[in-house]
Amino acid sequence: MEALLEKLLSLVFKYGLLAFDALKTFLAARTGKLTEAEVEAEIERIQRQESEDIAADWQKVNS
Amino acid sequence: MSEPVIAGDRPFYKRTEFYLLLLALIGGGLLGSGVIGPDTLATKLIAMVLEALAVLGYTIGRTLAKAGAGSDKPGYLTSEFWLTLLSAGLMTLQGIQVVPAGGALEGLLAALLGVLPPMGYQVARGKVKAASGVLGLLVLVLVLPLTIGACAGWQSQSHDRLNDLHAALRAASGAGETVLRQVCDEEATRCRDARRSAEAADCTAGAAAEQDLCKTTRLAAIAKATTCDPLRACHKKRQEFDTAMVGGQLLVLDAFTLVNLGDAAAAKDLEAILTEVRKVLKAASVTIRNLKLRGV
Repeated sequence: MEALLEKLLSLVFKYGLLAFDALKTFLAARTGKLTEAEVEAEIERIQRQESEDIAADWQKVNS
Repeated sequence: MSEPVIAGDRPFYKRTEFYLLLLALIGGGLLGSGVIGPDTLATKLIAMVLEALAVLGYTIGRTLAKAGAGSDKPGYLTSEFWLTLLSAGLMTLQGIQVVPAGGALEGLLAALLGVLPPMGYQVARGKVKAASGVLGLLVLVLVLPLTIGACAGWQSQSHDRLNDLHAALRAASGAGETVLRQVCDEEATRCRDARRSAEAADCTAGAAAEQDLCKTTRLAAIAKATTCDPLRACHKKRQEFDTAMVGGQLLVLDAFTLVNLGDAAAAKDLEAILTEVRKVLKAASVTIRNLKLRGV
């Protein structure tokens, strides 16, 4: 029971922080006028981040 | 004894879920447009949420059935494609009525709900056939600007709405990436530990036959750990998620073109209109070329 409660609390904490981060990102990104260049930059960021994360995972497996 | 019926074998119009969905769409349409029930904002929003969820559920159900039966029908010949278009169109029409002047939150909700079924379609189709992802993206590209345009009109509000949508997409991307990065990192750690443990196994003791068996087992364990199938599966999920997020960003870009066209039309600036029309044609030709390259 105690372990379950601890697990539940850690989940609430983890996803609470994540939701807080997402809200901060949302509010920060809303300010100012959006440009097409910003959207293109976000697409590039998503693709670059994906490649970097995948490469880092394989590097870890083989380290 | 008769052959078992595969879920994907029966055409969509002979399946009960198709008629249930039609019923939900028609009911939602009547409710949302105020023909039946109280003509309030809350009723319209509830109707839109129900429609979005119904189409999403139908798409996922059909996709799972087809994935099991190994269907490779092109996306534009599937019932979920046309129903997604229909539902998005319905919501666009409802969005026009739902959004009062200056109702930013309602407009954003209508736009996001309009996106939900096409996004579900894109991700779900991606599971059946990778090439159909482009077609799914095309649906998104066609539908979102319509929804945003309908909700926001052609004035500066459109830019605010795009701002909000882009901000919501960025927040969703960030949160999803964090979760998936952690999950994949855990899988990578497990595989690394398994590889290290296998490499550390001592195969020098015992008879020659035992040593050979030990070495074979060790090699197999190292190969399994370095191949790391759970990590590959995790990366596939990450790629699917990122594809949907990039799709959303492409939609915002496409909506920009449409909003600019609307602004130019409102200003009766012929030169600007022609420039924007050229942009639209260029974007369409790029999409068609991509479709041909992928054999869709």
